[in-house]
Amino acid sequence: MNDFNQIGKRMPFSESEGYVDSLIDKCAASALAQRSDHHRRAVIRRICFYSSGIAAALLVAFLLFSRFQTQNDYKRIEKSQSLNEVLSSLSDKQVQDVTYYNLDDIPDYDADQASSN
Amino acid sequence: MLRSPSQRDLGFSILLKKYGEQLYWHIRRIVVSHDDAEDAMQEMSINIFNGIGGFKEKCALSTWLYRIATNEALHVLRQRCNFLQSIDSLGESLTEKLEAESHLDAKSAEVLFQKALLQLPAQQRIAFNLRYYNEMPYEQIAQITGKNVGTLKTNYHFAVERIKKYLNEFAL
Repeated sequence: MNDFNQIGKRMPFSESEGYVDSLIDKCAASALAQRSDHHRRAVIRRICFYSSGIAAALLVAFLLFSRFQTQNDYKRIEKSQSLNEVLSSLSDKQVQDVTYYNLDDIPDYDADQASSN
Repeated sequence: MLRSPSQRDLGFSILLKKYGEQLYWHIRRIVVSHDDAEDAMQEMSINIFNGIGGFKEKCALSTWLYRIATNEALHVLRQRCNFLQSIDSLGESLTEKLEAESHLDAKSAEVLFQKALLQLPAQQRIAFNLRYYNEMPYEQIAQITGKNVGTLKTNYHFAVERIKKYLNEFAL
């Protein structure tokens, strides 16, 4: 710390007499004055924090619910009475034909023949 | 006194009276400009007042105050930076401010010493200021800057060497 003895701790700039004290008083007064403003901002910040938390929770709940709902819809279709009825009225061979078909077995669509019919 | 809500105002005023001047000069040495120092002091006071209730006594009160003052000074410097400009590249503009605000001749030892200081990166300059002007132990500087003691010792010695080199160039 004594490497610069010649210069010491002198600064090339200074302040007028009493300036720093008056600045300190001014800063203290403004800090005390902003207290109510700070309190109001803290309340607003808290409201924003909680409301965004609730909104996020609601969004997550909605997404989970809609996913659950979609899965339920699939299950409902699978279990639907009418589909069961249709399938049960078909023979095993017909069900197999409906379920497993080969694209090559399906004849190409002939527009001329369709128009003559 | 600072813990009690009824006496906090008084405690805060006493605290600022006790440490205000040294904090002002600490900020001034970092930001150089009179106006910037005033801005940083205002923000620092507000932060101290708002944070004093939550002061956890993990470090000395003066350390906590210096940390706030340092952060505010750096915040002011960052505001003075252009887009994508680092505060370490502000040396030239800070030197201009120093020359404008100095009451001494530009070739005086004090001005040259400050100019040499302003060539240093901000963190190195802060470490040097706290050690040289405030005579703080490295452990306290570490708590203020969030750096470890070894890094600070290196920073200080690098700073001393660079300042000496700068002063030698100007044949001081």
